[in-house]
Amino acid sequence: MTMDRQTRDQSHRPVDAEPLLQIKHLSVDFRLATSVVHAVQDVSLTVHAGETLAVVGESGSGKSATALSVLGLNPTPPCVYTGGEILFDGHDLLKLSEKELGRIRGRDIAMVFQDPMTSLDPLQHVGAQVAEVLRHHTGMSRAEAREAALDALDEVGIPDPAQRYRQYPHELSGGLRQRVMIATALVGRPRVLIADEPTTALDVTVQRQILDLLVTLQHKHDMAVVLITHDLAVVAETADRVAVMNKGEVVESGDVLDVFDRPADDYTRRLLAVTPRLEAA
Amino acid sequence: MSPETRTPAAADRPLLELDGLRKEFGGRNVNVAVDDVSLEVREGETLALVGESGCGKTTLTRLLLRLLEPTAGSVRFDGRDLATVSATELRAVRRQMQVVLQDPYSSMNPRMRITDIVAEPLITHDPAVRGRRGRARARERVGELLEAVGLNAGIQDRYPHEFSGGQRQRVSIARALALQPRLLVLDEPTSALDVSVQATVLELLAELQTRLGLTYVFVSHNLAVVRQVADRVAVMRRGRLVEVGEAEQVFHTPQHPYTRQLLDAVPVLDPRRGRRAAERAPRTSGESR
Ligand SMILES: Nc1ncnc2c1ncn2[C@@H]1O[C@H](COP(=O)(O)OP(=O)(O)O)[C@@H](O)[C@H]1O
Ligand SMILES: Nc1ncnc2c1ncn2[C@@H]1O[C@H](COP(=O)(O)OP(=O)(O)O)[C@@H](O)[C@H]1O
Ligand SMILES: [Mg+2]
Ligand SMILES: [Mg+2]
Repeated sequence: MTMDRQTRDQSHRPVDAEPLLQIKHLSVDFRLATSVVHAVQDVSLTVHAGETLAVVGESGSGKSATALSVLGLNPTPPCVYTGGEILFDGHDLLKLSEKELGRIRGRDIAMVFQDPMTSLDPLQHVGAQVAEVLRHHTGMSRAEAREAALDALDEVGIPDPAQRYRQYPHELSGGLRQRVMIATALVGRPRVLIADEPTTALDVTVQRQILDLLVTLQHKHDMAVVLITHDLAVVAETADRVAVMNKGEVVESGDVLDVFDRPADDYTRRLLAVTPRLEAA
Repeated sequence: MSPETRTPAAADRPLLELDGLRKEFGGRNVNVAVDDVSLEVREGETLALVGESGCGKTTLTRLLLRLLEPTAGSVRFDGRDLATVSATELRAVRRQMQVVLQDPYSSMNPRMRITDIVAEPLITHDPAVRGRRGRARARERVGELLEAVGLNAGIQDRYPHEFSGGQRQRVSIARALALQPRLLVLDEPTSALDVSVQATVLELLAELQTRLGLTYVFVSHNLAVVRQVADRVAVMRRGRLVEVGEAEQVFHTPQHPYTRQLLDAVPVLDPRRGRRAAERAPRTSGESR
């Protein structure tokens, strides 16, 4: 097992390195007026530097609630963190103040979502939004930030960045908007990128481009990626390791080859069996 | 179904024939949503219509259902040109073509009971189920339809919000079957469902097709789903059909570069064969394609 990982792992981390991000026994409830949803129950996940961990499960399985917990982004109330810890750089993120978390967001850990419109400002030019994030993280001057933002748009494959800089999000296609969101997430050079269903709303050809882009940028910046998806085929294409969630729990996790070859859990087996494949059955 | 509405299909005549269909939207900046589409659908087959969002799939189905007037071209159902048939005949033809949409909830009146949702087409088309006496007959028929789609006949007095997405999709299939149609247009019928629910709905559709001899026009953007259901595939791009063929042929020897591009983009459900297969080479030598 250890040997396997060493031989095929392209990243430079030693196998026994400390995990970069560690979620331990996390439990999250949503306390609603008449009921309590146990959205996340005793979930543990480990993310090493430079690797891709996929979190896969059907809707409502607790993927987003888990991911949002890392940066304290679940709405509180109704969200209550009822147990566990999220360790990053020696801190328990669950114990940090909003101000301390604010320093981690974007700079150490960044997040992208399915719908870029939720995190982009509809009334601001996209280039200015990237520049603003840069200024926030680095204290660059306006002119420096503008230059760096143009580079960032270029890096995520936006054609003609100077012209796109002055466009509003709604003027861009879904794929370009997703690229802008990735640019804003990456300008702070985070060590961990959490991508929550980043390609779910996209056409298949655009999905392919965005997944390729994420992998390229991940290698370039030696970044860990937590990729949240409902699609096992996306897992197969991108992940080093995978955690399968069902009804708030991680039912199985491990090396992606091991889990696909020898799924240990019934739910994983069922998910693999019902996922349609292009190759004839 | 009465004999004058259901002519026995001539063995080699397609059930549905689209010829040169075109649909333009908009005034000054004309948007050609469907552009010169000709296509035949044979009785009993599943013709899958695939393409990326906005390519005109839904518009094409609305044209073939005659819910939308084409700018040019014709639709023939069972040999009859829908533009020239009498109003009575059009009504008779229409009940033989039914549609199931992606999101059944948005097309269901949330204040209607399941029984009324399923019975609505019956009541519109069939005087025998109207009135007090008809009511009992309608309930009986609705019960049969619900059981045919794997639901309990006892749910008739409940409301749509009490059911899951998969169950609601079954309700809308039951409703579409109420008039014993020959053709079902399924417009992304499982796209809003989780994969495990999708699998059971696809299973149901296959079973109904065999049992009832239905013809399907199955619209999807998901090539892996199409692979599973289609006899023939029509690939659409920017309003046009770029390729039509037997499913085996389209998936194995795609003729059009766009079809190849689509197929290449689909993620492969095998960590040894996807894009990262090369990175995984040390462990997979001899096992990949
Ligand atoms: N803000 C919220 N308020 C109430 N319930 C929520 C909220 N966010 C998530 N939930 C519930 O928590 C469960 C897990 O949701 P989520 O993490 O979004 O699932 P996934 O991302 O896997 O689809 C679901 O039952 C969902 O309805
Ligand atoms: N009622 C309408 N009025 C104007 N434009 C429309 C209308 N319906 C569809 N369109 C346009 O026609 C094109 C094809 O849309 P549609 O048939 O819905 O595509 P698909 O179902 O493949 O996603 C799109 O450009 C869409 O904006
Ligand atoms: Mg989610
Ligand atoms: Mg559509």
